[in-house]
Amino acid sequence: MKAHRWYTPWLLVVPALAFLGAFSLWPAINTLLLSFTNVHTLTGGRFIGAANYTRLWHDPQLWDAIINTLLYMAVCVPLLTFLPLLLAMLVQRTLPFMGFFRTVFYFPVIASAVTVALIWQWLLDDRGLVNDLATEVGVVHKAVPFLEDRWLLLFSAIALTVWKGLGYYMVLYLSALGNVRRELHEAAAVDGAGGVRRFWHVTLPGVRGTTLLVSILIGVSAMRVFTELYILGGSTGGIGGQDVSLVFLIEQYGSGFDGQLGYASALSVLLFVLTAVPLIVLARLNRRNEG
Amino acid sequence: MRTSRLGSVAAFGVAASLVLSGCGVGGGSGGGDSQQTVSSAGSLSGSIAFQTWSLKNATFTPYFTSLIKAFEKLHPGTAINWIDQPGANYPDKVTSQVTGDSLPDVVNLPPDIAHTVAKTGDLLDLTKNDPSIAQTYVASGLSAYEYKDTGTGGDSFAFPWYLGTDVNYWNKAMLAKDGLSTTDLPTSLDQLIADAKIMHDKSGGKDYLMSRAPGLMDFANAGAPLLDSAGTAFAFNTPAAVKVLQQYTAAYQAGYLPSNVLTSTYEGNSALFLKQEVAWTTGGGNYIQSTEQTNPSLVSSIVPSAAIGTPPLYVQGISVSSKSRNLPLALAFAEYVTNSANQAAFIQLAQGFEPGTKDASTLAATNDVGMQAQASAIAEKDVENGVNFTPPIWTSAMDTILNQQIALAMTGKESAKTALDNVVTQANALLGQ
Amino acid sequence: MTRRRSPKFDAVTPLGLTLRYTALCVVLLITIGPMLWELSTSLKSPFEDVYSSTPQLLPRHPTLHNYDLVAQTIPIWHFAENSVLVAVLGVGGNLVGATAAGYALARLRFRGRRLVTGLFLSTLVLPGEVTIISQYQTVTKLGFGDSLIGVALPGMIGAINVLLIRNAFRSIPDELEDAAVIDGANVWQRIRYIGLPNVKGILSVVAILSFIAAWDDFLWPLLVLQSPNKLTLTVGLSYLQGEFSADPRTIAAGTMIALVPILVLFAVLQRFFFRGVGEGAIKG
Repeated sequence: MKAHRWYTPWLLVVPALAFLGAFSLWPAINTLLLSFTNVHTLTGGRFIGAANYTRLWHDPQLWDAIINTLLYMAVCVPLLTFLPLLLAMLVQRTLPFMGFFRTVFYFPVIASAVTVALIWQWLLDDRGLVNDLATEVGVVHKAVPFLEDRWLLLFSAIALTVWKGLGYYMVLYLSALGNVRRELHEAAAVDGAGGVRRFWHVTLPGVRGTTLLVSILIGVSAMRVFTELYILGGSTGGIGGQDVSLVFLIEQYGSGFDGQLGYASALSVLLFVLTAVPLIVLARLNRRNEG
Repeated sequence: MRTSRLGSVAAFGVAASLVLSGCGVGGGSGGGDSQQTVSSAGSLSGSIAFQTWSLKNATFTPYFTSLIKAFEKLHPGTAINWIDQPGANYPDKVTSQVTGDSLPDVVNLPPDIAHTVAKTGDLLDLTKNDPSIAQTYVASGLSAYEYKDTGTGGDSFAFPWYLGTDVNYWNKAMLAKDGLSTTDLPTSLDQLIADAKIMHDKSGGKDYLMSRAPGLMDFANAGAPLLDSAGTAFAFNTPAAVKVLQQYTAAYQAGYLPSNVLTSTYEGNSALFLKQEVAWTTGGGNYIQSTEQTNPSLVSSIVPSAAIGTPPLYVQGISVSSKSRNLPLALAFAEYVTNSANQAAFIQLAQGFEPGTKDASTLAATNDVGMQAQASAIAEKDVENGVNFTPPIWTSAMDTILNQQIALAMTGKESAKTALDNVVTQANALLGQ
Repeated sequence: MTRRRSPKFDAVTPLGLTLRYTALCVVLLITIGPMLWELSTSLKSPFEDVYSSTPQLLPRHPTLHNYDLVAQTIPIWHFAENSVLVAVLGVGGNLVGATAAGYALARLRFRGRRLVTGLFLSTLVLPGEVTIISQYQTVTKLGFGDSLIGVALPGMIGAINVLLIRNAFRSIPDELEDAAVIDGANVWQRIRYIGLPNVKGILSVVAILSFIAAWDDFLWPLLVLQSPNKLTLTVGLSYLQGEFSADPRTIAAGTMIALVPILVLFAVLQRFFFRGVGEGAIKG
């Protein structure tokens, strides 16, 4: 049954397609082309082959960025996969104030990374609240240099990311928990399973698909971290420029009056390749689940 | 959603877009012709745009309004359209103007920004177009706009307009409180650090004298040449520079500087001085005057002194866009803005700065009083001896590297020698790219 | 003899309740504690120490002075207007553009549908940051550099939103639409009377998420905007630090001006949001 003219679907799709082409597909191609040139912001460059890519190999900051990203993943993936699940279980029941708790738990997600980082910057400063409290209680004698030490700064940024991500992934789990059949819980309870066992044997398998999705999403976003590091560590990327991420480097090299667009593009291509890997893994696993 | 297809479809999408790819490598616009010659002698007509940087305010707006009026009266049939850009993000603004082909005809640029614009060919070679340039303008100002890697070398891309320097300012109330002399002020890095120690010890670590990490200027002042003899590569990783960095490191680690001078919560030495948390800052010749507006209660405590070592020279110039559609008028107006009479009038408003022409300073009468008069006198002398320390080939990317390495050294993660070696190697590598 | 009731595996016991609410309150403290601390700092008067050995949560001399100071130093209300404009463009663009495309991809048969769907899917693999520089060049070449439209443009029709809405449209039973076709309804009528009423949940989620995304974005407006009168709130706030020589009280006040409106907006709309999510809206 032909219920529409041949061009109607295209009328509907073309605007979205135009945006996709202009702001995703074309920039992607252009980035790839630029990565083989030495273009700067103001001075047009020329083709230089793979020189930008060999330069990647020798860039000490890139190795810092990769180490940081791996650490970010190692901490964020487990924490943000399980804490939000527990949180979702807490607020899932229909009890008084649950709407309030859900909403407030989502607040850190809504707050812009800039706002959040500014807040945290002052919490973690030499004279900030955290150091005040810690000295008061006597845990430390001297202010902890959260913003000066490479690793402390990195872990502060990670804590910030976790804090900000809890609510987001909680919502994904809320959606999934709704699909876990109640009868399964009842049946398990009849068999005498306690809360903990029901969690392991009913809840967890019930949300397995979401758990996988969530952990991949976290992995990808860990690869793309930028704002937390930029605001806590400043534009130099922490005290020695070691608290950087790939996106941070892209921004650092690519922007400004004398931006090295060619090299920044090579970094972008690298980021694309690294990000595509977990997503392809996700697609593969999904296929296996369905098939 | 059929996620199972995601992998294969994505691969296809990328492959398809690769096939579609045409040319279109981005980058700068086509450059103008910087070497053309223009005459501003004939009769002038038409209109041009004139851009200043952060000068639209109660002090300077009347000056520019009447300056433009006078010019338009002198040359009937001309119109000057004045625009002012705010202080923040000026380089980005100029970048977008250059890429968008909308650079104003006559534009106020500092030497580093002018350098990048000159490299694209968008600024007019002024030495070529003004035969008496060397007789009219001060040499230190002109040389700040001469670039080895563009133009014919030794040619200037701007008329020097106003010149500034750094003067030391001390909070004498704080000095006195911590048992330091308010008249015998430090004149060397050694004395500065010694006094910083006294201040730290006397106040129980609450007051600070020093509050900034060292920079290129400090290395140059210690005798390290910033560039090699050919002037094409950096070479300041000398023992003298290493010693300066070591001294700063020792002072920092002993707690004589606020610990956050290296982090993102650092507010800058001037801000800390205004909050009376530190007793020393450097600032332009008009620092006391501007403090009068923001922190009037502090003014009575400020004493100025000459810069330690060779004072730095900060130059502002007026350039002409080589893509101007009305080059004769643009050149004539640029010369008019920077002539001795107009510079003298400008300097009377911009206290603490010096004019860019040779005989304007004799025309300028000062009406400063009190400590500001002293500061102005010091500034005048400092400008005469001043040197523009920042080589034109130094970029913001190199500055980032410098800050990173200095921070590493000062926190003890690297030796001073390694840090400076790293800066020089990495900055030189950037030159080639 | 009482009849055995079904096992009360999820019965509400006082102990369980206490534990649950205690845990909830602990998390509550962690999530909004820092924000409350910032709120309190923003209300502290200049002569009240913000760094002290015994931190005070409640300001002793609450004042709105810092808010005044922010408003005096940077045109924060103007920045807020800019942010709202960008956010509204983003919401409008996504509701119209993504709904149209989503409907066509879900309910209309046409040659190339699979290919188009695939293109949308493929861009999910491309992180926005990767292409940001080229995106910048595209926007400037289109003549939207340093403009609010340039800021809004790339986010106006998000691929992910197209796909979310497409999924929602697909879950509408075919019979409904077939009946409408037999009754002679054209495509526009079918979208209006059958499609939209059935995807309200996901539309509210898309609207809320695109508003938040536009309001919060930092890196992109930072690159696009140069003129100080065009800055959005997030970028404008980062200038506060320099302008104020980083007085924590005024920075806190600026932060609150950016934060509170979006939180209030979300709290008002949270019912629609969580309902939309409950309908299974957000799934890879």
